[in-house]
Amino acid sequence: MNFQDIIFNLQKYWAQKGCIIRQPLDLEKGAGTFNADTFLRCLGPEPWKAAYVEPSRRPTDGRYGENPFRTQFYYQFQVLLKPSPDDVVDLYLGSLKSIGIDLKSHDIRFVEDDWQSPTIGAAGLGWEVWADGMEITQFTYFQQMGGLTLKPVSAELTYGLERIAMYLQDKDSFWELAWSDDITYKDVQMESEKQWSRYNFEDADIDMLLDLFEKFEKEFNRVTRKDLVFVAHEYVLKCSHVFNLLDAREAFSVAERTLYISKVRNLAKILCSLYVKQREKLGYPLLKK
Amino acid sequence: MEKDFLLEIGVEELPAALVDEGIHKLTRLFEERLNQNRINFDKIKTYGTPRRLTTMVNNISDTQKSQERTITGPPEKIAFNADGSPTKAAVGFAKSLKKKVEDLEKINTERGVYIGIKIVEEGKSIEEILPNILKDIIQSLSFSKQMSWANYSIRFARPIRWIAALLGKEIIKFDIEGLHSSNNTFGHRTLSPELLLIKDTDSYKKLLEDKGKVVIDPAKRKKIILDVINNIEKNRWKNNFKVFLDEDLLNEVVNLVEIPNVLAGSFPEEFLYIPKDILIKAIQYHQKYFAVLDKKEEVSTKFIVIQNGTSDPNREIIKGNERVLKARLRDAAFFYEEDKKHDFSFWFGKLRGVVFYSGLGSIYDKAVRLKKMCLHIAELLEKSDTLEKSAISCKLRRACKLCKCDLVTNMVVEFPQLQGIVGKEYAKEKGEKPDVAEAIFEHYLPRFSGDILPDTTIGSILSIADKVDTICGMFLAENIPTGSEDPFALRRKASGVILTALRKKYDLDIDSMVNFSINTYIDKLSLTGTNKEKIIIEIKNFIIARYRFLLEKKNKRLDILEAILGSGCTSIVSIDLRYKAIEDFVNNNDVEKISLAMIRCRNIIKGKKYSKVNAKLLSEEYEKRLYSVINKKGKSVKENIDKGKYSNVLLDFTDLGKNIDDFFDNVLVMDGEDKIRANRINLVKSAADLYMLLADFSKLVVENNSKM
Repeated sequence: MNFQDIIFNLQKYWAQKGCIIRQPLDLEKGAGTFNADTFLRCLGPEPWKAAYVEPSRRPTDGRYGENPFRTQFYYQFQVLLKPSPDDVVDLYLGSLKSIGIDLKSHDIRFVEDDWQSPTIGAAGLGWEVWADGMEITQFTYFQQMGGLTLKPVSAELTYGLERIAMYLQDKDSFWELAWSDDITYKDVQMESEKQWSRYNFEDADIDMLLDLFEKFEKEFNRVTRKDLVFVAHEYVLKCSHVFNLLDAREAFSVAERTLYISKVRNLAKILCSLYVKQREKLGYPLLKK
Repeated sequence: MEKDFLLEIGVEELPAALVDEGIHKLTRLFEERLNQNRINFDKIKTYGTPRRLTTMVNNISDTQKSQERTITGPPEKIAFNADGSPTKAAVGFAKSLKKKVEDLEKINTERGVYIGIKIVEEGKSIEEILPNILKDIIQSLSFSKQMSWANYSIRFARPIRWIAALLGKEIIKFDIEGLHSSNNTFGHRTLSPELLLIKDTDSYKKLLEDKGKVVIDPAKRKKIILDVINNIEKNRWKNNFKVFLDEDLLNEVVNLVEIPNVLAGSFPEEFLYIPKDILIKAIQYHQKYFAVLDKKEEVSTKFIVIQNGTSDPNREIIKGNERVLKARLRDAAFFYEEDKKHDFSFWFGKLRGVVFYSGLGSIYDKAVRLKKMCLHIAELLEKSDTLEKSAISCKLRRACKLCKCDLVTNMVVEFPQLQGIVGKEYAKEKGEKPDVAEAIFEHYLPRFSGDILPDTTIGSILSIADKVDTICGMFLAENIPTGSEDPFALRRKASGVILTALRKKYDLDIDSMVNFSINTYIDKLSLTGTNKEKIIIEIKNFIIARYRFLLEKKNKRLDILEAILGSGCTSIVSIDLRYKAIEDFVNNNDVEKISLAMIRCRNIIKGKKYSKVNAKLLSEEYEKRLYSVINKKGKSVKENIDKGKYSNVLLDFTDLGKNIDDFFDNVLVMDGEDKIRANRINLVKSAADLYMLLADFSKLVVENNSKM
C-alpha cells in the first residue's frame, strides 16, 4: 500500500467511526498535538472526534537526509477521541486492518510509554504500539493539558505514517517509500529535507529569531487581553517553533533554555484557561450536538 | 459449604512492572478484606498478564463468622439520675438501638463506667456481602502510577474493560460506574478476540489456555520461555551458542505477553565491532530482545525475540523484528562513530552544561567536589595504614575527572542505562590505566539491592565519595527520603557506602566524611552554623540507619548496635567489628557481668559532679584495688581498641566488673565525709568511662532485669 493510500484509508476508516476529517493546520508545529483540534479541544466537557494528517517539524531531528528515518519534517496521522470510547483499542486495531495489517499473523504489542510535553504543560499515560517490533503509533490517554487536569479524558492516537509505510512496504528507509505508485518519498521530500537541515543547524538567523520570539510573545499577550483565543493559540505555536529553531542552532545556555521553556509553558497555561472560560461563557455549544 | 471464588479484572495493557505490583497488592487486599469481614478461606493466589489480574480464593466459607460487638453509650453518671431512674440520654441511646433501657448494661472502659449493650451479629451469607467487598477491593487497589479515562471517576493503572466474578458457577453481581460483573472474559487480543463464557471457577484456567490462548500464571510463562530457549540452544545450536539471559529483562518480557513464543533471528555481522557491553544493551534496551553469546562469550549475530503469540507461520514477525534491530544497531554504530571523534577533555567541558540538581550546580561542579572528597578519603585511609601513602592520588584525580564524562556522549544520551559502561569502554580505548577505566564503571555500584560492589581501590573510594556527595547534596536541597518516597535512591546509596567500606575494610569515619562533603558544597550555599550541625547529624543518622537496616534484615540484635553508637563511634568498620565481638561475647558469656556493673556505676554517678580521682584519698582495700585495676586495664583497653581487638577488651571488662561488684559490696560510696564521697564518685565515673570507650552497655537489653 503506497503512502497516500495509507492516508486515504485511515481517513475513510475514522470518518466511518464518526470523526470529522480535518486538514492540517497551516502553521509550523512539532506534532499533531499542537493543532487546536487536539490542544484546545481536549479541554473542557465538550465531546470531540477528529482525525487529520499533521505535517510536523522537529528541527533538531534533521540529518541532512542521510539518516533512513530521522528527519526534521515528517507526517503524523492524528486522531482525537473525546471522551475516550470504551472500545478505543478495538477501534484502533480496526484501523490497522483498514490499512491491510493482518492482526493474526503479526505481533501487535502495547508497550508502556508515558508521554509528557513540559513546553505545553501536558501529560498522558499510554503506549507505543509495536508491529513486529516497529513502533507505529503513539497511543495516549491525556491526563493534563496546559497544567489543567482533563475531564473527560481524551484518547489521542498518533500514527507515524512513514514508519507504517516502511512496515507495509517492507522498506528500510523513509526515502525508499512509494508515495504513489511511481513517485517515491525521496522524490517529494529529499531536497527540502537537505535545505531545511542546513538552515536549521547552520543558517537560521539567531538574532532575528530571538527578536521574533519576543514579538510573538508580546502579540500573544495583546490578543489574549482581547479574548482572541484562537489567535493566541497560533502565537503560542509560533513561539514554540521559534524556540525549537533556536534550540537546533544551540543558541541557548542551559539556564536560558530552561527559561524559554518556562516562557512557552506559561503561554500555554494562559491560553488553556482562557479557552476553558470562553467555552463556558458560550454555554458549551458542542454538548448539545 | 465451601466453594472456590474468582475475580478477574480485565484491563487494557498494563505496564510490565505494574502486573507484578497488581498481583502483589491484590493478594494483600483480598487477605485483608476477607479477614476484616471474618470470612474463612484456605488460600489466595493471584495471577496476571498484561490484560488481566485474576485472584482465586480456595474454599471460601459460605457465611461470615458471627461476632459479638459492644456499643457504648453515655457514661453511667449521665445515664442515670440520683434515684437510679434513667435520664433522657439513656432512653435516647436505647431508642436509637431499638432496645429498652433494661437491656443496657454497665461497660467498664479505660475512661470509666459507661452504659452500653453487647450484641451478637450473625454472619451474613457470602453472596450477600461479597459484592461490596469486591467493589471496595477494586476501588482500593492503587498503583504507583494511575490514570483516569473517559468520564469515569475511578483511577487505575490502565482502563478496566471487564470484570468477571464467580463463586463456583454463580456470578457475584456488582458494578463499578456501570461496568457490570459477569461470567464473561476475553482471550488473547488477536488470537482469540471473541467473548468467552466462564462455566465455573474450576474450568477458568483451562478455558483461557485452550480457547483464549492466554497463560495467566507469570511463573508458567517464564518456564515456557526458558524451556524453549533451552531447546533451541541444545537442538538448533548444538550448544555452540548461549542466550544472555538478563534476569530483569526476562521478568519484564514475561509480563509483556499473554502467551510467549520464542523466535530466533539474526543481524548483519558489520555491527559486531561495537564493544560487547554496549552491543548487548543496544539489543536489549528499546526492543527487549535477548543477545546470544558464542562459546568465547562474545556477542554473536543471533538474537531472541519473545513474541506475544503462538507462531510465526510466514516468518513475517521475525523479519520485521530483524529490520528494527538492524536500524537500532545502525543508530548505535552511528553514535559510537560520532563519539570516537571526541575525547575526555571535550566531554569534561560539556559537563558544565549538565545540571546535577537545581541549586547544587552542574555535574562539572560535582566532579570537582569528588576530587576533593576522594583525596580526603585517601588521606583518612593512609592515616589508618589501610593505604600506602599517595600511591593512588594521581589515579584518583584522573578517575574523578573521567567518571561522569560519558553522560554527555551520544551513546549514553541514547542509552542512559549504559552510564559507566560506556565511560569504561571509551577510557580503555583511549589508553587510560585499567583500574581508572574500571573505576568509571564501578563508581555507580551497587546499582540495585544485591548488585555487585566495587573491587578496585580507585573504584571503591570514588564510589563512596560519589554517594556521600549525592546524599549530602540532596539533604542540603531538602530532598530527604520519607516513607516509601526516595526518588534519588539515597537509601540504596547509603547502603552502598556501608557495604563497600566493609568489603574493603575501609574504617571510614562517617562524621568526618559528611562534614567534609558539606564543606565542599558550602561555598555555593549559605548555611548557618546551627543548621549545618543539624544537617550533619541528620545525614550521619541516615547513613547509620542503613547499617541498622542491614542488621535487621539478618534478624540481628539492634540493642548491641545502640550500645556501640552510645560510645560515639561513627566509623563503619569499627562499628561492625565491635558488633561482631559483642555479639559473640553475648552468645557465649554472661554479659550481665559487664552491663550490670556499668549500670551500677551509672546509677551512682547520675546527676553528680566529678573530677579526677585523688589516689591519696583512697583508703579501703577494695577501692584501692579497683583504682589499680582501672589504671592497669585502662591502658590495655585503649591499646586493644586501637588495634581493633575488641574481644580482649570484653575480657578486660569482665575482670573489671568483678572488681566493681566487690567495690560496691564492701565500700560505702556515700561516705559522710564530702571529700571521700566525691573521690569515690570520681572513681566510679572513671570505671564507667572505661566501658564507654567500647560501648554503652547500659543499652543492652538483658533478659532478667530483676537483678538490678
